[in-house]
Amino acid sequence: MTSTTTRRGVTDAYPLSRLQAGMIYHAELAGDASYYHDIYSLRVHGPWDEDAFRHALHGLVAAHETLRTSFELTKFSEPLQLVHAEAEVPFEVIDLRGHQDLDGTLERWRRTEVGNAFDLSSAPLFRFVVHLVGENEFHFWWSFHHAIMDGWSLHSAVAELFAGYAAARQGRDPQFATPRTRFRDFVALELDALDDEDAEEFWQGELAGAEPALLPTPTKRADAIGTVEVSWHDAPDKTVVGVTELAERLRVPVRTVLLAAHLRVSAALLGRHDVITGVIGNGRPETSDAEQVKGLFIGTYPFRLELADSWSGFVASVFAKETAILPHRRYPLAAMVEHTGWNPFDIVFDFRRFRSYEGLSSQDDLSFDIGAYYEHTNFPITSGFVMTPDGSSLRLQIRYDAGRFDPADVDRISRGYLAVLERIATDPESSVVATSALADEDLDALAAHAAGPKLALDGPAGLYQRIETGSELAVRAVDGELDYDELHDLAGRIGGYLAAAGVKRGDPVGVCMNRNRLLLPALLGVLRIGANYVPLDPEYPIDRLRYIAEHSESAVLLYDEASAAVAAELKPQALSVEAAAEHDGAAAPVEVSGDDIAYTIYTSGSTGLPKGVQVRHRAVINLLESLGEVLDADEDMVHLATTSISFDIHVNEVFLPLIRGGSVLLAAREQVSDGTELRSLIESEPGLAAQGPPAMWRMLLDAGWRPYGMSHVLCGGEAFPRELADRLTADGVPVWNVYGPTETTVWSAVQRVAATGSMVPIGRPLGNTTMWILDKQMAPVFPGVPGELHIGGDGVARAYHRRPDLTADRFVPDPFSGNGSRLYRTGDLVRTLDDGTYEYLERVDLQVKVRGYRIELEEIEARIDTHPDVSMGVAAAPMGSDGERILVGYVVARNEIDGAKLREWCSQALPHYMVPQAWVFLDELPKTPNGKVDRKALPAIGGEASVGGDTTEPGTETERVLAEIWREVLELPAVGVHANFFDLGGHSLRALRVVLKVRERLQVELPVAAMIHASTIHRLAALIDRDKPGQNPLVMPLNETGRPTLFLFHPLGGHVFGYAPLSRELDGKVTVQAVRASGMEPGEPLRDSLADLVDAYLTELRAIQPHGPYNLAGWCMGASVAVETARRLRSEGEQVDFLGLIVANPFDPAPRILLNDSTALVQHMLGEGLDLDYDELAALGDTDRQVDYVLNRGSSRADVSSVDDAKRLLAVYQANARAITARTLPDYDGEAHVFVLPAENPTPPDMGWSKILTGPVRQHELPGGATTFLDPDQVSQLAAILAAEVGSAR
Amino acid sequence: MSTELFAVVRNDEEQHSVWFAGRQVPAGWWPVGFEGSRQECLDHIAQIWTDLRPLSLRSAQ
Repeated sequence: MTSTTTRRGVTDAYPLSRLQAGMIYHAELAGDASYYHDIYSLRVHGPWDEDAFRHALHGLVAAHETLRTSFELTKFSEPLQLVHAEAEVPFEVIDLRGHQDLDGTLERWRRTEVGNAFDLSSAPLFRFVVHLVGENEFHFWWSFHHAIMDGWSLHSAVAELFAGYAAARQGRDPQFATPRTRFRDFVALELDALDDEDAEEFWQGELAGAEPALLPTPTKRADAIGTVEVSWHDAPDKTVVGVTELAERLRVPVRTVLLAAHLRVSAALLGRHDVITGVIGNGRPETSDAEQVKGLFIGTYPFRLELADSWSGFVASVFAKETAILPHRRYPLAAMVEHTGWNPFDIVFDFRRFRSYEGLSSQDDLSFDIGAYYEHTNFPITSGFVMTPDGSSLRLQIRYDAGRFDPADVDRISRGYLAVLERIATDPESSVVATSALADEDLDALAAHAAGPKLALDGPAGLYQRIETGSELAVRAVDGELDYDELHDLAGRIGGYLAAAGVKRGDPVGVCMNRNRLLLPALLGVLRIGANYVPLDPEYPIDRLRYIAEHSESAVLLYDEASAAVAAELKPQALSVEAAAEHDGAAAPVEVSGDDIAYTIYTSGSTGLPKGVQVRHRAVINLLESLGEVLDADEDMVHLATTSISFDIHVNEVFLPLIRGGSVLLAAREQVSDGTELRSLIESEPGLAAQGPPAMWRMLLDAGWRPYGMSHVLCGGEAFPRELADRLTADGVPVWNVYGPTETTVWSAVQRVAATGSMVPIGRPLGNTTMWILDKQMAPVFPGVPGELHIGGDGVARAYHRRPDLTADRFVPDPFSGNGSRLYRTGDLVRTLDDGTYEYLERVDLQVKVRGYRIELEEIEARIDTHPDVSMGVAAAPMGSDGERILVGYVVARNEIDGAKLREWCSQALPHYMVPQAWVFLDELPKTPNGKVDRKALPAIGGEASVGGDTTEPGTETERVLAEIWREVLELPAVGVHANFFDLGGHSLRALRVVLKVRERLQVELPVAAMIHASTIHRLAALIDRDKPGQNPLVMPLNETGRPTLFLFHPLGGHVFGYAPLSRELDGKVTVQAVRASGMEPGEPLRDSLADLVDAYLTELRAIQPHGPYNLAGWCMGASVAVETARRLRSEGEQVDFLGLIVANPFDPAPRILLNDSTALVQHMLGEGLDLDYDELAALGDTDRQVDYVLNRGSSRADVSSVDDAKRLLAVYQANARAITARTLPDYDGEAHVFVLPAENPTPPDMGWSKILTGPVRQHELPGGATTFLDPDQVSQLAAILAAEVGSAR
Repeated sequence: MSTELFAVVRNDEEQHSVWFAGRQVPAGWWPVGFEGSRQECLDHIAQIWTDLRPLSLRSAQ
């Protein structure tokens, strides 16, 4: 190759190395000029002589062909690098002498320069710049494209340059030698390596079964991604000596010990012990003058090793691996990535021992600061160890992506390196995994961070003894209220009854009850005598209850009347709580220790059986006192209790207010499941505190509720989505994210949710609680790195009842407390954030949370697998697009089976929330290469997957549209028209969505109640089609299946929602057709005389049932309408078999003031639950403004979303009131049934009906109060009477 | 990974658990002298830990 051979002075052309090609490709891809633009910076103390320097520069460039190389990427069949005979040397001298802010100017220059792109096709690919900064001082810069040169080449070139400069200044000819070895030799070796099958096989073996070792830490600053920063840290002399001596003793290079330490630190950065790091290797040919060649010889190869052994053993393993890699080191990383499809590492190790520095330090009148090399890298972090040639000093240089790490992180990492090196040197026989990768000061900081506040728990050790006393209100339930003294009195009686049955301290007592007035006396009665309660949810399948009752060794159980049938099926002696409450003779309160058990709660178990978590009094008290502090709970606290006692979060709902003198508002089961009902309950009580899972809050918000006026909103049980947090915090009400497993007693962390932000952190530990993030070896990881959350402190449960093995597995020694205490392994993968809070990431096992319920998927699978027709089943809970997970069963069938049968099978053993909502049948389950079920590869529900239950195709257009809506809302691929909405994963929130979509696509208004009663597509379609065209008829069926039809007339408000629970009870027995008022929908006429009303209703009635016998009834104003309708029918010759007048006074049908005073009406109709001042409202003047005001305050009416809605309803109310007030009812001489509420002490006792009814009258007494008697838990007696009377009349 | 050795350990309250064999046992815990796979240790604990109440409570009652 001579200079005469070429076009444009090109003396040689050869292919690019893989790394060069990769760099150029990356830079093109990024479109960023700073990509792989490196800058070297060196401060020189000594005289400046520009001519001499220029002379040296030219000599250097002439001697090394890579400094005269350019790249030609497109003109040839493959990209080539072209070596030019000559290249003009870009060189600039800038005089900054006397300049203020010299350092700032230089730094700005560097940052600008890094953005100046090189034209790759034009040699040379570098620039020299010298800044004159003082009389005897200058700053040398070498700015170059990384593809031409690596760090080694750079440093040796700089050394040659300054040797040449020194010679030139003294008038000598600078000697620059051209090495015989060339960069193209290296490219040739690489091509050989690429053809080397041994190398390929070796590297495939190294990476077999590996997961990419990518940093799990989040991006810190998105705007800084790609900005490389460098930080330097000196190793103390003692450490350098220790490490060097150890290397000598183990007969390995120092580099090997450093690499071993690097693997330990990397493990803590990755959160795993199977570490893969990149190692920067030198691929120079093994020729005598190879070290003098300039070029890009470095290669980065993966180095994979699992932490194990003592340090001396581990260092030996590292050395063995290095030795094994050596022959294959030239195999390019790019080729490995092509094979695996992924980049194996984010962290890179580099070790440099620059012999070439020696030249730099020996120039007579020149001295040098240590140069800074700003090298581009596309790895987030590169840990470089730079050792002086004599081995006397060692510096750690961390090059990092400023978008991924901040300087505090890097300082912490560097402290970790130095601490690990020191620990290795001090005790080389210590365990590698037990050696922390964090420095002592950082471990101390973690310990401080892990601990919640210290809290003194003075006072009684037993929960019962901490309950307040006195005559203040303590409990409100649907069936009554209790003050504290009554509560204690009842607890005393129940405790006495239990004691008489032989229950004593430490004994478990089953509690099979609903949320009624006696629930808290029952729980406290158990605690009062030192016993502990075991919740037995009467809604659970009987098999599960049997297991819990027996496994818990409960000898007795308490049941309420409604649960009697269930209790009778269980083995323990069943004691009626109603009878116990009458017991004469209170039990004396028994003192307990904080270690006594307060309750045992059974949670889903991965072995296929539920496991009983035994929770100590001290743990409960700690929770209540800590949470009480955080929430500032006092005697004003009114806490809503919505949770079944089968879930431990009932504990703070009911006991927190009771230890602070506040009160509990117990919601009935039915109130909790219906967003509208729950909404009105919450809004009826301003200042309420309430808690629930995200699904509950979402349901409320979707029902039109806003948190305005609440004292506390607690959201927990599963991850708290930001979108929900935004909606909940919009009104400024305190919203708290609460986190914790049952095993550490309800909640372990709490945090007030900020109104803005990205995700919602799980907060900080509660009092006397520690929260550690640990790797699999129970070692702390770096802040920000995910690890399993371990919780310690007062909340830790005693054990899983009768499961010592399970207990020992999950409750493990606390290596930090020093006092023999235990940590609970949560199974939650968590990381810390910079602000000190914790972020939940995912589970490490198969536990899922579905609508707040904790479920072990294996327990469901165990049940599916026992079905004789199933070969194998797998359960999964994919996230739906509505933010709620859906439980899906994947089944390989042995014989033909459908989803309905499987659902039934599961329902027999599993609680409703653990029964899969959809079934997918597969020929085989996807498997991982090692034969396990590959859960990540399970198909999404859709396509060919068949979903269980009915599969009847839609028969009409309405059914087709409904099926489409159901599929969207339920996120199922197919739905049969006879399948029940609520069996397919439908819940009240989803019902609301169906109603909204029906309104949009079919232009039909449905009440949510219609979904509850017409819960199949077929029935819903029939309901809709009958109502067409477009009109909302006044009569609608609330159920369908039974025979005789009963017409129920609306109350004053005009709507018929109140009859829904009654209709549910009558389902299958009596068909309920409910008649609502005209005027409720836009455009309907208002009727304000009873005659007009009855005319309209008779037409509708006759359309449904042309002739008698008729059955009619009504509540409130509906009674008057029923009487008048009956009279008219009889006068028209029809037979009326049944007339029911339910809780109504014919002489006092409407508060008179509401007829004349629109302000009072607004307050009455819309202001329920709001603290509205009449005068304030009146001052607003017209009704529009009043309504607007009330709506903005958060009116409780779910059916009112606009001023127009509200005004229409007000008008209906006024019209109705006028209709029945305007005239006195004529006498009625047929038979009638009058229903009254003795609890309301009506005067006269028959509410005045005897003055109108002249025929036979039968009076019935109903339980409940005026506003509650139609509630689901009160209405059964009324339903029973109606079923009997309406049925028998035929 | 699965061949990792564990040791059965016990604290002053006679609560049992497992710890990594060959590593220093956390303060307040003592090895009972049984080592094996994690599952073997847990099976052993199922045999020997018969009263799950803490010792202090058992003594007090």
